[in-house]
Amino acid sequence: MIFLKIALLNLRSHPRRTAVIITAIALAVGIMETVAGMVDGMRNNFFTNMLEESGHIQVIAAGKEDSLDPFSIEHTLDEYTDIIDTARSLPGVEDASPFLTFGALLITEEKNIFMAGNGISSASGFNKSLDESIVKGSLNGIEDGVLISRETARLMKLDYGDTVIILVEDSEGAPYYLSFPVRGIYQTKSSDFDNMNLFMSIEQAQELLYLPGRASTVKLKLTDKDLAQTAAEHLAQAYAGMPVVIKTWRQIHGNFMLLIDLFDLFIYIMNLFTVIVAAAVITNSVLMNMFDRAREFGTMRAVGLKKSGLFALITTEGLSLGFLGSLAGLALGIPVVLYFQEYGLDFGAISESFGMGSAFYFHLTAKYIILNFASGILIALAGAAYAAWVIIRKSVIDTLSWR
Amino acid sequence: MKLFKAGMKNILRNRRRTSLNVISLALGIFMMVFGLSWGQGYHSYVYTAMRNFEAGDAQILNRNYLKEERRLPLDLAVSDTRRVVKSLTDTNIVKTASPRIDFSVKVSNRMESTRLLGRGVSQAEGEVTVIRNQITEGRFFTDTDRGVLLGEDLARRMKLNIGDTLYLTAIDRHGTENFMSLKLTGIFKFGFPPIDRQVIFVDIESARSLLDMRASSTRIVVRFTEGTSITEGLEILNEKLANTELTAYSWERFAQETVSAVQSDMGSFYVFILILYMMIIIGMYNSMSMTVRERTGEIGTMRAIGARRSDIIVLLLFESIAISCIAIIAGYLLAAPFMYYLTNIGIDISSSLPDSVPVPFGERFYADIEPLQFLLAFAIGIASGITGTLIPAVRASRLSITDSLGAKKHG
Repeated sequence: MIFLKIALLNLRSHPRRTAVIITAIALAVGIMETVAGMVDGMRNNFFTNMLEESGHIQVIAAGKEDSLDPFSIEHTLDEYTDIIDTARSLPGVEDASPFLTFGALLITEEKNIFMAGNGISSASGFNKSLDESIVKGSLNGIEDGVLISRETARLMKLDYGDTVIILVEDSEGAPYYLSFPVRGIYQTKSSDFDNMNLFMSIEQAQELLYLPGRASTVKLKLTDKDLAQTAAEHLAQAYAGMPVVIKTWRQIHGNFMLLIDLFDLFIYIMNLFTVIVAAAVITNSVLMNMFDRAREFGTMRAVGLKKSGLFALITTEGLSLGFLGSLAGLALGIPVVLYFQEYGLDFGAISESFGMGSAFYFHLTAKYIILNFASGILIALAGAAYAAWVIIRKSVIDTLSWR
Repeated sequence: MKLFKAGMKNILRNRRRTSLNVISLALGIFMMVFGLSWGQGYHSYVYTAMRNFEAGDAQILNRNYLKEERRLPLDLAVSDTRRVVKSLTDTNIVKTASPRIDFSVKVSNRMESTRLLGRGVSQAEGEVTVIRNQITEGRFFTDTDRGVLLGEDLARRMKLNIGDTLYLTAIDRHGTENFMSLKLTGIFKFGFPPIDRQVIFVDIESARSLLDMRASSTRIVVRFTEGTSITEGLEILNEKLANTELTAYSWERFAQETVSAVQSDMGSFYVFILILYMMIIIGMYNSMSMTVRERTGEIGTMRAIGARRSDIIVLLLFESIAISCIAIIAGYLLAAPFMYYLTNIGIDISSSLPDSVPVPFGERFYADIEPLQFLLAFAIGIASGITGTLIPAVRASRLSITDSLGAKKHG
């Protein structure tokens, strides 16, 4: 306790140097906190947006993924209700819903546009964000009509209640069309998604495509993404020998996971540089502070302070500086993270290519606050320990005659 | 010269302090050189690739086309393309102008089919983009050729060889579905999935026939003559097109994802570098402040034997410049192996990216080293040293001779 008191007194008696060291630590911790918020936000965006859409596990009709046409309806799941029942009985499965995707030409009197048709179940737990993005009409509208995006509505000069023709190539390979009223208009954060997708009930899609009782995919949402592997293995056992492919979110988003890992590596390297530069600056500052007071230390040693006591005194100062600097760093970094968590950082069109909308949102987590706080303290402590090691190696006479 | 020598001696007097300053500044220099060459690689490679692969220097479109681009509107076309192309090439700023028709097309080999972006192009496309060089099998179109060009992966996936027939189905500008069969005349590979896997090139006359476009096209891609800047070229073209339904756009309008990727990355990098250098300057300031305090007596003696205030400032600045120079050399040496790897061997970024990412990194991404980057890093390194030293140096020069000489101890 006495060391802490002396350390705090010393910090107060050298306000400029204390301020310099605290600023260096604060900047380093501030950078690390901001970068951590950005990376965690990226992960969070990924898991929220992409897994929300893809689910944690997908049961896909065998052969569908090998099709040349991503919208091919040649390969579909026959007994998908059975798959859903089995999936729902597995531990950790929150929702299991069928999807029927297909290529469709949306036609009005003057214009036409190629889109991805999505036959979905209105009771599906996957519809939450779609439901929240509806600006006109409601999700229930898919039962007897279609949901299109605001952008598609603008482009095709359509409004709620208007009728559109949807032309498809049915399961027999013949062109077939039906008229649907527009029962809902939605707008998500991703213009790429909005440009491409229209929604209707899976029953209407089955009728349109002449695929009664069939779906292209069953998506599973789990209570915890880490349960995906176990649940997938259970499903694989249950459907061994059947024409289905079971994929976990890691397999579905393999490239994105690799990209996130690469990004993580890049961030770690950036943080490493920040830590090294901060450590050099802090060590230099602490060293100078200590050398400045070498004769003071010599006197303390001469009146009986042991080497270990001196070491403890100097490192306590480092600890105090680290504590104050880290607090200041968090005070710098946390508001930045909170701001971008609320308003997002606009990364422009490239961010949409990753399915994250034009802006992506930072994420503040207690884990990184604690880690960065501890890192700031450790950097200062390491600098102080080095300075202490240099000082205690000097003899009492050397320190007393220090110039 | 004497002051310089004295400065050099002083930095050797406190090796530990010098080393720590050198380490932090050298890392800053390394990051600066590395980041700038990476950024330059983006600019010179990715931007150039974007222009060479598809965007050209500028594009001329119907002024309402981009509002409805998503549906690939054939009704918002450049009518009488031949006349427009001629009027463009008659100016002394346009080197080549090539008409294009973009349309949605279903492509089949009779076994299976898929929907792709059809691109009707003429022989001139080979002058505005690098497509001619990307042909790996067969050949690019001449104006009399009829046929299609397909990406290597897609051709392999569809089991198609040169001379095989492809069947195309598309909706024409009147909304009627038309059908056409064409021979595969060439196979290409750009190393850019959005083109390799999603685009099929069709000779423009066949595309016009399939879509009933007569003499129209949906855009004209332009290459300016050497020495014509994009801004200047666009200004002249838009003046020329003022009373028509057409507008000229810069290539950047058609590569927004790439431009935003480059801008975001470089923006983050500059913020990071700025903060890093703030820390370096703080370190330098602290270090030089200490130097001044340690040598108060010495400075007093120098002033007493005739050194001017400016000499003291110059002496301390020489010290910081010398530290900066050592750090800059160390930073360059540290960066050298990384730079060598990045410029000669490159990194395979594309294989780690999802196909949907519209940034043409090519098969390997290379950084681009320019002497200016080293000069800039050098200048910023020196400036950081000087900035961190200036306040302590001025403070030292203002010490009174008597006070300095009377200083018995530090602090």
